[in-house]
Amino acid sequence: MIELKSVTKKFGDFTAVENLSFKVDKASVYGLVGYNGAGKTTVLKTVAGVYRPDGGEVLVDGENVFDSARQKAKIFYVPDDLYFEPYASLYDMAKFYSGYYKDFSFETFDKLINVFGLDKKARINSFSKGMQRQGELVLGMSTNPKILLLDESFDGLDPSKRNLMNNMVMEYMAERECSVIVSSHNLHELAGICDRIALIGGKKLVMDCNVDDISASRAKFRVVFEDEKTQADFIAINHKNFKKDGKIITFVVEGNFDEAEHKLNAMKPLLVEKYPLSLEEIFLAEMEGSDYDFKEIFG
Amino acid sequence: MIIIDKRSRVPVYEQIKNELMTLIRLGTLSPHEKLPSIRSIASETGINVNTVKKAFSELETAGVIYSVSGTGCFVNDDALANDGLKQVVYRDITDAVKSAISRGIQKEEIIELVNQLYKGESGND
Repeated sequence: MIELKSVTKKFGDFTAVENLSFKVDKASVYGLVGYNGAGKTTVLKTVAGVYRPDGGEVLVDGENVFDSARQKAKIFYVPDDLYFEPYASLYDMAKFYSGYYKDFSFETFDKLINVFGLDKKARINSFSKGMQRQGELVLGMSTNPKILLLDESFDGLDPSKRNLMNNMVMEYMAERECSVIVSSHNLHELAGICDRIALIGGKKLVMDCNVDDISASRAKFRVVFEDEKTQADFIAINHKNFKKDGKIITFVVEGNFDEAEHKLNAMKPLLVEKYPLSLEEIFLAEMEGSDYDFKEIFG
Repeated sequence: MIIIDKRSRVPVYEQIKNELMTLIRLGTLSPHEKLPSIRSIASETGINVNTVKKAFSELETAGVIYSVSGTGCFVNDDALANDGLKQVVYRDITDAVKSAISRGIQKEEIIELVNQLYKGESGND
């Protein structure tokens, strides 16, 4: 289990993340979402024990990860900016990693190389960006890590390879019961993969939720009334993200939306429609007011 | 066997539940038949195994399926008579009828449609 306790990381005067706490269980996948520069990579590097936090601590199975070589040997971090030895092939890199990771399996390595259709003898710097990412993941899973950290690892992959990589990671997690943290700015990518998703915004954790529970806990309503209504008319219904376009009104209801539907029907609407919210909409609703005003920028 | 739409607004575990319930309703999975394993559904769909587990445990709580430890999950005897399953169907129908009403479809038209569908079914028997 990974546990972050009030982690703060600064670079000089700049605070990258502040007072961050969350847990990642064994055999689960944790998603980190946030805008570019939100601090996702900083979090991953701190969990990997690359950075020493300026405040708080990161515990892996109860041990402070920065000081524990034993725990670090169970972690594999796939960075966004990949690094390979100059002129090395994947096989060279496999030999390199096998020196550091005692559980490195050349058998797994060969199987994965075949699945991804990579050439283990070819120079890695002749590979495309997407192939390099696949190569790094192959190396990573071959080290048999208990913790796999993926930084934007699905970026730049073609749809079929993305799917393959997705399935490999899911299979690996289920089989080895490892913890996975995956960062992304693409929520669609994370739906179906993650058990929990956290949103980092303004250096802090804005939201940390169980994916299944959260999608079941909110609904979006679209209602139309004969006469024009204002937001004040819906005061009895606890709602967010009120939007009005002529007579068409939309808003998000959190919690008891059956009750909300009941109340709405009592108001004799012409139309009531209820939609489940996509993860993207949930996060946007949560960051209400913080999203850009495009009219202001381009107007 | 199971198709998941990751871009859908419906939560993934709900989609899995719905898919399994459809298979039960269609009789593709009959009472006491073994369901595909959680792991096999997870690897077939590329979905997190914990999400599939959640769908299974909700179906079990609803009495649609039962689990035998170490063996797997099976369709319940009275899965079709099950309230949970019925409720889902009722909810689907209610939503469909509501949407028909708001689009100005008359009650008679819906009744006519229902009659036709049921006639079609008895014709196939």
